[in-house]
Amino acid sequence: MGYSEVLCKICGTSFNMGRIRRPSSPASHAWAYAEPGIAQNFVTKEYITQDRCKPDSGCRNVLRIDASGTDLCAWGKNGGGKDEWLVAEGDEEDGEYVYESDASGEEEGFEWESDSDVVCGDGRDSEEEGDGSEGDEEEDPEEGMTSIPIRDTAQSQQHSPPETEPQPEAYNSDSSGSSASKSNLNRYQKCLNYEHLAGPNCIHARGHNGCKITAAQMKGCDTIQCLVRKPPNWTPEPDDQDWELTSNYFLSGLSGHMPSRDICGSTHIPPRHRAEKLNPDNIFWDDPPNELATPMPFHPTCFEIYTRASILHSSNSSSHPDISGLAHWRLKESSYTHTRAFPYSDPAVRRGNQQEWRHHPGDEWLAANPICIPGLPELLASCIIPEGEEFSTRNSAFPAHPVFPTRSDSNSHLTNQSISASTITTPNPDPFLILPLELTLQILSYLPPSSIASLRLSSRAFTHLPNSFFRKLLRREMPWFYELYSRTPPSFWVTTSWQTLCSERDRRRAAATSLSEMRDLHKKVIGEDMPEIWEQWCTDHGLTEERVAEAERVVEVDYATKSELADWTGWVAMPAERTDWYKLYCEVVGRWDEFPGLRNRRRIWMDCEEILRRVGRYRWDREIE
Amino acid sequence: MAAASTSAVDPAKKMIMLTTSDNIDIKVEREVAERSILIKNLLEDLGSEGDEPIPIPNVNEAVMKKVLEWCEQHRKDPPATQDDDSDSRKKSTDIDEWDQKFMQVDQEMLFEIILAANYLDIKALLDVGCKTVANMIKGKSPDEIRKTFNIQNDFTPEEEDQIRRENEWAEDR
Repeated sequence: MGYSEVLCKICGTSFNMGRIRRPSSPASHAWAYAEPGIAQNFVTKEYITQDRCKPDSGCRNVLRIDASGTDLCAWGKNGGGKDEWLVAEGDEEDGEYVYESDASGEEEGFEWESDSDVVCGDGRDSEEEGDGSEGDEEEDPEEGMTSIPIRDTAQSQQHSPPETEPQPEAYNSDSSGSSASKSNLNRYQKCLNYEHLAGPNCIHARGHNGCKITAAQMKGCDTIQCLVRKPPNWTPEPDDQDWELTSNYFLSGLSGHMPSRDICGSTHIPPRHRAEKLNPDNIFWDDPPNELATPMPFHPTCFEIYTRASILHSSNSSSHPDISGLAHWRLKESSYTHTRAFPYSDPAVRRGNQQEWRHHPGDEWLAANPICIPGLPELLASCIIPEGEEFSTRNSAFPAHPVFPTRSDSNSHLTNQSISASTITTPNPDPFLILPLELTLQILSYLPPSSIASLRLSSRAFTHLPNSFFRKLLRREMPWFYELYSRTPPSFWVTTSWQTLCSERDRRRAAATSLSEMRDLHKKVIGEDMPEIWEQWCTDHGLTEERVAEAERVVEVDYATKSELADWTGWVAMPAERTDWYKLYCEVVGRWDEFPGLRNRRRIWMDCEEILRRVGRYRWDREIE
Repeated sequence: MAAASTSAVDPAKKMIMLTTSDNIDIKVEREVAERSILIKNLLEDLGSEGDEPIPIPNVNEAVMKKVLEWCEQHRKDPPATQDDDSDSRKKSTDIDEWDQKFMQVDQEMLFEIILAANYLDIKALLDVGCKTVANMIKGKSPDEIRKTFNIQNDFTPEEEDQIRRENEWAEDR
């Protein structure tokens, strides 16, 4: 079958978006999809020559795996190991580059390879890259050699041999054993040992450019959660959300890796309702679909956005999201054809949806966490007026204009000498000035921001607008910006992380083991040697079988009630009467590019609205109760 | 307008009398007039059988007749629902065909209808009026808007600059 990506059913993007770090970033800020058998959890040097970054991209390839197969940064996806920075010394082009580690203090010289003298060929699609051994006829311009256009096979035979031996058992699916395929294999193998580091103009397709998006902004883009159909023997657990108790579905724990759909499923932590190993898919390959065996995969952040959109759109002001509607939509529209046809709101989704997710320059925002957005809490907090400071949302958002009277001087322009001469005698004065404020605001409620701006330049009736007007406008134009009107902080599953849950699992397992050992040890030492005081000892030390059993139960299931497992504590609720809504609107628009997560949230929200429209049609057709 | 009722059994068909600001009496069926929440409440508060003329001091005859024409057309519409969130959602500016034709009046009358609908508390008519004005504004430049509504441009260049600066929030993202 070959590599085949399971995508987020809600937003249509991959769980396997990589990040190419800049040379000055730690190794943990780089990651990529790591297939079983390939240890490299970083974006490797591009194998297809014509897809490589341009000479002036500022990118570098650095040897990361040495001849013995050791990862010189020794960083795994589970964390731990050295966390090393790459620093350049001396000249950018030819200088010595070293890894520098705070942890080990070691400094090792590294071999650098520059893309700067690569001449790009033409006409090949990178999608063949995954096959590795197939006939890419172009030779590798290793060590500064100029590349050859791809069909020029005569020259392609001449180039330098690879430094490392190929490992045919891992990659060679070509049985011909020709020298060309061996050479290609060698080249492919060699590329795997080099880490690609991003310059400002990096165009590597296998990871987002670290100069364009930070690791913190991308947090959680590889996290998977599933909506799982309840089995008949399902029983509630303490951390169930309200809707899970009544729905036919429940949420799985989180997973940090989505393998190719032909390899294995995802592993979830915690194993909520014993759902640990799952085989989620955004497509139903069986007809009729087997919902029980195939949970619905999504980013936890996408599910959070769906729940908020669902609650906002619900006609009966329900506080519960429409999960049965979501599940029904998924049942109806998850064939391959349906999945391909879903009208995602942004063309970037379709652009990236290749066999392997294609990371297009400029589309980095697709990977930005749409809920936990670095810098956003600070922006929101800066728009809250401190207590004691004079402020009213009923006042104009704009300062008084120096020459002309304000609107609050009701129709005073009619008596203002500076402009009155013609106005008074004009048979048709500005009709908007005869309308009371609430009617001018009602007219504005039907207009897009651009028309409101034009009106302000046309009529004095709109020169001053109350600050509270911008609250309504924000809510209308940015319904996805729920911080502005909701009092409900994000759910546990988006504020924690898969890595945190892994650490917690390990910590609890260790604690449980320790507790169990202590119990057994003490029982052996005290219970057997001094049985007469064993009972009293247990009472004194609170050591009971029940306590141990309870500890183990908590260790296994009770994650979501632990607030300390939340990595994100940036929730800011905006007070309606003490927020400068105009300033907030200006800040959001003016600093839009600083917050790719907001742009991503808007995209996902629009896709959720499309899902909800479809759910609405199914309800209308009485397909859903 | 419907013909004068005699001993109408149906109270909705009973005729009532409105007196406009220019002292003109207009006879209208109670059900039609009660599209106006103001008139409906007045009738309920007065508790009369509608025999006394009801003064409408803010609306003249021409406008009142126009408003009643709309009320007649929409006499069977379900009552408006109060939606607290009405300003928080994107609103459609679609207007049904009859209402569009109805609103093809001169600009002075259009604004008079809006003011009357507001005073008489006829939400649906107010919405149609405001939508009509909004549709006349949409997609137009400031100059085009001024031309449409005969507004004289009395902004100084400095003031225009200031408003432009204040309008930066409205830029597309």
